[in-house]
Amino acid sequence: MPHDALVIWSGFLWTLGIFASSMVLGSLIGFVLALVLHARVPVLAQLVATFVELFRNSPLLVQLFLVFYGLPMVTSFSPSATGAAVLTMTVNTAAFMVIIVISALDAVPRGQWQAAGSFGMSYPQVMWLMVLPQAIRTMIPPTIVLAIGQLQTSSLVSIIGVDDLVRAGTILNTRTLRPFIIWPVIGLIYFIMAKVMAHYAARIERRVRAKITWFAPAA
Amino acid sequence: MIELLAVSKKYGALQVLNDITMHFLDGEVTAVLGPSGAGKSTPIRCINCLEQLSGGDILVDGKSVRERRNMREIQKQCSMVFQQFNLYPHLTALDNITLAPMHVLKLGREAARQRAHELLAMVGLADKGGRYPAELSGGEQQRVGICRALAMQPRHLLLDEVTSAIDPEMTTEVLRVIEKLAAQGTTMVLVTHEIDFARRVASRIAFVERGRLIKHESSVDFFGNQSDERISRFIQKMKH
Repeated sequence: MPHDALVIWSGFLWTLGIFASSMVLGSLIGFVLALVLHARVPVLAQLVATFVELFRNSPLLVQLFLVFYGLPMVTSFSPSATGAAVLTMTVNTAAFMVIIVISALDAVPRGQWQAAGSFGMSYPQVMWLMVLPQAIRTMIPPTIVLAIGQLQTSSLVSIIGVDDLVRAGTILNTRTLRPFIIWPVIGLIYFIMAKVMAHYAARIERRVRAKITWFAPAA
Repeated sequence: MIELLAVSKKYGALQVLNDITMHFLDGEVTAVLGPSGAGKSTPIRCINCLEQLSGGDILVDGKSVRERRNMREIQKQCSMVFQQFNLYPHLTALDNITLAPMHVLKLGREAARQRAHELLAMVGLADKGGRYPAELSGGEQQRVGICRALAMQPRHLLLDEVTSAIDPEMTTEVLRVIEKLAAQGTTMVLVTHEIDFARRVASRIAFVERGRLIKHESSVDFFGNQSDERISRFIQKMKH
């Protein structure tokens, strides 16, 4: 029994590690790509748009197989299961993040761009000083939704052999043949992770909101 | 001096400005009047490079708005006050005013704040510098908007229907500020509905209708002995 707990604990750490690293990296990359897309950088913007469309509209599992089994056959790059998992999840997260950031930027009223531009501010100045501070707040809720989704989706990496929570469950299940005990426990751990994350995210959002009193409607 | 040379502007098939030629001299206050939808705001939006011309040219102190490399310089020289204020909601009134001077004119933080305080005092908002736009009334927001434009120390001030989004009882305080600026000799182009106010502050009147410049003459001639039947009717109607 203590050994079983250890298997689950190890699976939890792997799930957490893969999820957290891909979420952080993916968000950062997605953020940068969104700025490239928004600034309509020639050629690069088209590449980003294509990338987003491809990765948003294909199953993560297919992407995982492609990276883990496909890449080594056509390139000299053969990632480990964990490497493939983090890489794929990062790229996948980035694709969704681009959409979130772009929508948040578009939600900033046009008058704000004009006001800042009319005083001779450059595009990067307007973006950095005016638009991003306003857009960041809009990005928080959809990013939390994405994070919770990606946490659940990360369970797919067990299929290519990453020792995550689901794989821990599979191992225990094979040994004990008690699926009705094993899987609820695994499910509950995902549930608790998601809830804890949502709780802290809500706190961050509240703090941002409190700091930015300007969202109170004008009297 | 701002010169409009045969300016035309189309939005798709809609002709908003049609062959407008006029100029605004330094130190002069010009009011642009006309019925709603006549294309009153478009000229100043074109001057500020917020819209691109479909035809003709605009020269701001000799620099053409058609050349992209002139754009920043022209925007520095012509500050705009917007109908909907367009203050930056995430910054305090004071920071709204200092932002462009600090980042565009590269003015030091202290100098910029000093100037912002002076401007706020001038418009009667000395104690409101720390407030966010959402905490200010419409009239107060617009006065901050005027300070923000003046902080750039522009050669020309462009005002786009600055009172039409404000409750009537709040407009007086804004108009008083503009009157003060006019008395100081600030060059202004004032797009407005307030005909009595135009008569008080403007030295010249431009009357625009259906995208065409109908009259451009001194305020005295415009209101004193108006020969144009339609304009007389317009003046009469707007008074009530």
